[in-house]
Amino acid sequence: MEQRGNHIRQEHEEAFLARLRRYEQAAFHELVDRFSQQLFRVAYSMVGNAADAEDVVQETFTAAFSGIGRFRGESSLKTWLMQILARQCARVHRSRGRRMTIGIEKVDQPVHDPSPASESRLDVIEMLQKLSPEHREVIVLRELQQMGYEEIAAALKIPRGTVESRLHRARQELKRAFGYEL
Amino acid sequence: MSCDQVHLVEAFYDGEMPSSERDVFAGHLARCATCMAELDALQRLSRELKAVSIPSVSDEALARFHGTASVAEEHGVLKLAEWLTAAAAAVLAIGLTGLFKHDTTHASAPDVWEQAAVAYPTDHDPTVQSDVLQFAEWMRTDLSSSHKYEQQ
Repeated sequence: MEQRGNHIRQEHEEAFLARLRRYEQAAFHELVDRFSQQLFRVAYSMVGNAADAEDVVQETFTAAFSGIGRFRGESSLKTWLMQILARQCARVHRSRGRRMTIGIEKVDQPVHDPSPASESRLDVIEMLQKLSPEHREVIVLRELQQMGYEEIAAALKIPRGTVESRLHRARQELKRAFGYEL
Repeated sequence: MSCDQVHLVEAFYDGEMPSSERDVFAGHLARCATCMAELDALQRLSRELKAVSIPSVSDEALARFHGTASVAEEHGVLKLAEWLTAAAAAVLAIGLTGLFKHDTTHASAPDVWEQAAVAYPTDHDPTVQSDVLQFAEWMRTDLSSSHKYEQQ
């Protein structure tokens, strides 16, 4: 039963991909509707604020639309989009690093939204920002997106073993930050 | 208190442990306080991370994403049109080249049999061969013209 469900999903995804490759406008809009929230969630967790996260998602869609012809379908659409998103997040971090280096403004710390937010939300997002980008991306893809090790490895283009070790270190750091006894 | 199998808890928790090892490890977990404590910590951490409240995408941002989709579609149609034009031009060029080659083959050098028919034999004697040569020339002209009629 589950296999049949997977087969239908796969067929649906292939048909959807074919529509994207034909540059069907409706398919592009469907892609935006299907993935905006997911991508934004991951981007927000990685960059720490809504403005940067929205820019990252916008750049992700732009890159995906222009590169759809080169996507060979070796991974799922979601994995491919996460791959692009991870690159865009890395770009944001590099640009923050550069701005810090030349000392124009101190932007290495996440700028939280001015909107009222619960303490726990601020804490978790802040803690995530304290991780290295490499550790942060694996923990976000695993815990927030429930992606498997192989899927994360494909999205980040790193070996599965590296996913496992980074995930372990990220969890250790977070457990320490949350004050768990290790 | 420590356990040499505690490093396996994460794979077990993430559902990444092979099913053949899973049951065995589940048995171990039930008896090992260290591994059970690690499993509890992982579950707690997941709860904390999942509880994080992330705002929804703003309507303005969503409108911008859809704007990107519209621009991409226009750009894509143009790209597709460019590709089709290029493909049509290539087909036309190949067709014309083939046609040109076909015409020039017939217009240039005579066929081998024609050359043989009018060629002087190696032991050529002009006094005795003139009637043979005349006959060969007549045959070449006649066959060439009938070949042209067939083509028409």
